[in-house]
Amino acid sequence: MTINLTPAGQNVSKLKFLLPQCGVSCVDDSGPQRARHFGHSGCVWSLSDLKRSRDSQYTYYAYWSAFLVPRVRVQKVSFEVESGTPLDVALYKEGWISYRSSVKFGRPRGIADASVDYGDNLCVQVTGEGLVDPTRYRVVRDVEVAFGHRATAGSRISERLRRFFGAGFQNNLLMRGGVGWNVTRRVITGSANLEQISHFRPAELSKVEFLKVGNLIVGGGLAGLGVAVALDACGRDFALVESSGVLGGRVEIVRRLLNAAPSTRAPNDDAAEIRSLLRLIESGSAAFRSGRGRLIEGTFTGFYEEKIGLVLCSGAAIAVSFDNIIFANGSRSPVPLLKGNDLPGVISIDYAARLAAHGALRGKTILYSEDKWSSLVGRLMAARGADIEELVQSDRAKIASILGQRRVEAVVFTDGRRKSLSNFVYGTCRQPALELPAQAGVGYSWVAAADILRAEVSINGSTALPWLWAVGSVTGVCELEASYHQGLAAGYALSQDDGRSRAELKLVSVRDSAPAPTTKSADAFVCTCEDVTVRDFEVAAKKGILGPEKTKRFTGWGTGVCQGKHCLYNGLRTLARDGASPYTQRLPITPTPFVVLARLGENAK
Amino acid sequence: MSDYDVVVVGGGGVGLSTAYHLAKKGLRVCILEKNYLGSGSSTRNAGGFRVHFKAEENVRYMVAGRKKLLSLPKETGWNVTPITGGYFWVLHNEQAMQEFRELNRMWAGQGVPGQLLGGKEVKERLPTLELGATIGGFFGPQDGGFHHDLVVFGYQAALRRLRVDVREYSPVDGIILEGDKVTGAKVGSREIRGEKLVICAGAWTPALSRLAGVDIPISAERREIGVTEPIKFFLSPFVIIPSEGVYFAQGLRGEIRGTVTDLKTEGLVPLVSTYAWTVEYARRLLRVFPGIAGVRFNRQWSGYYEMTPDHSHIMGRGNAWPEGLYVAAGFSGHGMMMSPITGELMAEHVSGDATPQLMLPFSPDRFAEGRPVRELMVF
Repeated sequence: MTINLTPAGQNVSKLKFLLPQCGVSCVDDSGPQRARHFGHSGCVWSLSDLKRSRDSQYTYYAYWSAFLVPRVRVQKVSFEVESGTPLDVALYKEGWISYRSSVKFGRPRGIADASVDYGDNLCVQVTGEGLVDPTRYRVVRDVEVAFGHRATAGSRISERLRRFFGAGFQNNLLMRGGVGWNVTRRVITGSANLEQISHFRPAELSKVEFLKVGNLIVGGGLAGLGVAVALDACGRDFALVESSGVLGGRVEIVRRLLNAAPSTRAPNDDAAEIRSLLRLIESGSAAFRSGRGRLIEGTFTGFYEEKIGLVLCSGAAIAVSFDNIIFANGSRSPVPLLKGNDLPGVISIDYAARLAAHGALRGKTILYSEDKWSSLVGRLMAARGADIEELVQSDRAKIASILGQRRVEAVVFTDGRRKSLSNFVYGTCRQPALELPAQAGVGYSWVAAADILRAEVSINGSTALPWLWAVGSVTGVCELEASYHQGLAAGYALSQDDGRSRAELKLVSVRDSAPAPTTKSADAFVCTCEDVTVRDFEVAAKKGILGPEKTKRFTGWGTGVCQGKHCLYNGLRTLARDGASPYTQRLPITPTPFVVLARLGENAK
Repeated sequence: MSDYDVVVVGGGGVGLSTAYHLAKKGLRVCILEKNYLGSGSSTRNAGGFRVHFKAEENVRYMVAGRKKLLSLPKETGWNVTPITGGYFWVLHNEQAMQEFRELNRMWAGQGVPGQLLGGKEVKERLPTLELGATIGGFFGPQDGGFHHDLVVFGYQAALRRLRVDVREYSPVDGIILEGDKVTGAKVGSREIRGEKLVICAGAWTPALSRLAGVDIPISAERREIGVTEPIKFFLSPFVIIPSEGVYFAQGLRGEIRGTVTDLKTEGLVPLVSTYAWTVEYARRLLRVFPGIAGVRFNRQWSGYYEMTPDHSHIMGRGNAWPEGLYVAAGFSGHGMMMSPITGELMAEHVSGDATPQLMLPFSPDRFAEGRPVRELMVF
C-alpha cells in the first residue's frame, strides 16, 4: 500500500508542532514517537531522510503511516502488526524465529542479538525492497516476506559428516589430502546454500553525503552522551552517530520495559536505578539543543587511513571526515560456550529486552545471568509479564547442553534434570564491542583473571594517538553511570578544560567483572558465521596452529559477515592466553553493499 | 662451530620453503621470523597463480613453479585447495590483442599456450559481466587460484615434522660478519650462529641486507584488496580487465576477491585500508559487474608488493657480497605462487650442490651487468 498525501494546511501545522527546530526533515518510519524523542535536536539525518531527503511528500507519508495497520505475509500466513514495529520483532512474535539455516551445514540458526550484522543468507526478502536486515527494517506498510535458503542436500550431508571431519571451512579433513580434490571442491562449492548472484537486486539507492566535523562520537549511549554534553558545553562542534534510532543505548531499551510494566510490579530499587540513569540520558540529550551538535542515525562501518569514517544508513551512506574520533559504542554479552548455543531461541539479554519491550518474548524463558545488570533486566522483563526464571549459580555451572531440533526446546543439567523452555537468554559478563575502536588502532588485551578484554587507554579515554579516544564500556574499564562521567571527562579533556575533566574523573569507578565461567563444551559454537566449534580450536592447537591470527586463518573464526562481533571473545577465551590481543580487525566492520561504495566513488570523482 | 648450517631470515612462503628444502637435504636450519609465520605478505595476497608472464625467464620459472605448487599437497600433506579455473584477460583494444597474440607464440613455445578469443566468445563465457565494447580476450587454462594460508600452514607442519628450529617473534637486528664472511644473526642480545644466511624477508629485505652492507634494489608498495560476503559459486576463472584496471576471482567460500591494479602507496607505510581505494574499487567493479550491486563488501586489507627495478625477483648472491649471504626476495607481487619452486632452487644453490639454470637470470648482479628481466605483466 502506498499513500501520497499532498501537503495540506492542517498537516503542515501538526508537523511544525512536532518538529519545531529541525533543519532537515527528521521523521522516519516510527513517526510521532521519534519526533518527540528527537524533537529539539538541531539536525537529524535519519535513514529515510537520506533515501528521500528533503522530500516533503515522504515526510507526510511517514507521519501518516503511523496510524496505519500494516499486514505482514509470510509464506501464505498473514498477520497484522503495529506500524513501525521492527520486522524481526513482528516475526518473532508470530513464532518465525528460525528463518535461516547455516551456510555450510544446514543447522537452523536464529537471531541472537540485534547488534550482530547478518549475512544475506540470514536476511529476509521483502517485496519491493529486496533483501533486508530484519533487525533494522520497520514495518510501515504491507509487506510480503520470503525466507530463502533452506538447507541444500549437500549441506545436510555435510552436517552428518561434520562429526567425523570437523566443522569449519578449512579444517575439513576432506580437504587435506588432495585426493579427489576436484570432486570435493564441487561438493563444497555446490553444497553451500548461498544466494545466487542473479537473485540479487541492486539495492535502491539513494544518496551519498559528505560531512566534515571536528569531533565524531560513535555511539549514543551514556558514554557518548557524556562526551557530547562536555563538547557542547565548551562550544565545540561534533556529530554523534547512533545506529538504533534512539539515544541511551541499553538503558533506553530498559526504559521501554519500565514504561510498559505496571508500576506496582517493577521492583522499586530497580526502577529507581533505571530512573537515575534515564535522568543522565535526559541531560545528555540536551547536548543537541544548542544546534552545535548533529545526530546521525546510521551505523559506523569503520575508520579509513584518510581520517574518514563511513556511516551506513539504510541503502545510503555518509562519508564523514573528522579531526578527532571518540568511540563510545558500548558492550555486549557473548554467548556461553554450551553445546547447542547456536540454536534459534538462544538470545542475548539485550535482544531479549528488545523483544520483551514489544511484548514479543513469549513462552517459558530461562535467564543465564552472570552480571547484576542482566539480573535487573530479567526482573523488569518479568514485571512486564514475561515468564522468566533466572538460573542460580550452582545450576549455571551444571548445564550440560541446550537441546532442540528446529529451535531451542530444553536445557539439560549434568545431574540429569531437564527444564523445558522456549527461550534461553544469556547475560554473560559484558565484553567491550571492540571491533570499531580496535580497527581504528586502540589496543586490547585479554585479562584472564577478570575474564574481560580491556582497552589500552588512559582513564580519561585518551590513547597514544591524540585524535583517537575510547570511553565507556567499550574500554572494558567502566560501565553505566561511570561511563557517563568518563565521557564527560573525555569531552572536557578534548576541549582543553582539564579542571572539569579531573572533577569528572573522580566519579569514574572501575567496573567489577565476573570470574571466568568454567563450562566449555567441545561442541559449543564459537563462530556461527563460519561454523567453528571449540573442538575446531582444539584441532588447530594439535596441529601447532597457535595464537589468534593463525587460528583465525585456519578455522575461519571471525571472518564471516558478523566480522567477529559475536565470536571474538569466545575465541580468545578458548585460546585462553592471558594478555592475548585479538586478531587485527578488518574493514568494513559492517558489510557494505557495493552499490553504496560505488556511488561514493562516483561522487569522489 | 656454528649452531646451524643455514639461518633463514623471514618466515613467509619463500623462507619456509627454502628452510624446508634445506632441511630435507639434512642441513641444520633455523628460521627467524619477526612476527608469526606468514604475517608479512604471505597471508595478504590475492592467491592466484599463473604461468603467463611477459618475460620468457619468468614463464619458464613458473611452468616449473606451477607443477611444484600443485604437487605441494603430496609434499606437505596440506591441500592448497587449487581452483584450476584459468586466468581470463578481457581486452578492449586491438593493440592489447596483438600483444597477446605475439606472447601466445612465446607461451606456446614454452608448452603453455592459451586461447585467444573473440569478443562474442568472451561475452558468452562470462555472461554475468558487463564487458562493454570488448573486442576479445585471452584465456590461460594453466592458471588459477589457491589458498596462500594453506601453503604457510603446510610448510609449518612439514618443518615441524623435520624438527626444524622455527623461531617466531624473533626480529633480526644485526648480521654478524667475521672478516668478509657472514656467520650469523643477532636477535636482541642473542646471537644465532650459522654458516650461511639467507634473507627471504620480502619487502623488509633491503633493511636487513644493509646490516651486512649490501644494497638490494627492492622497494615496498602498499596494495589493497578485499573480499565480499559469500555468494553461490559461479565464476571459476580469475578475471583481469586491463582497460578498467581491475581484477577479481571467486574463492572457495564463494567470496569475490579483487582489487584495482593502479592504486598504491610507496614505502613501508602502515598496513591499513584507505577510503580512496575502497570507493574506487567498488566503482570500477560495479561497472563491469552490475550484478554485484547488492552484494556486500565484507573484508579488506593491505599488504606490500616488493618491487624490483625490472619487476622480477632477485635470488642467489652477488659476487661482491660477504661470503655466505644469500637472498630470495623482490617477487614484485608473485612471491606466493613462486615460493615452492624458489625454495627448492635456493636449497640446491645454498647447499652448494649446484646453481640451477632456472634461477640464473634472476641473479642480484643482473642490474649492474645490464641484463634485466623486464616483466611488464604485473597487476
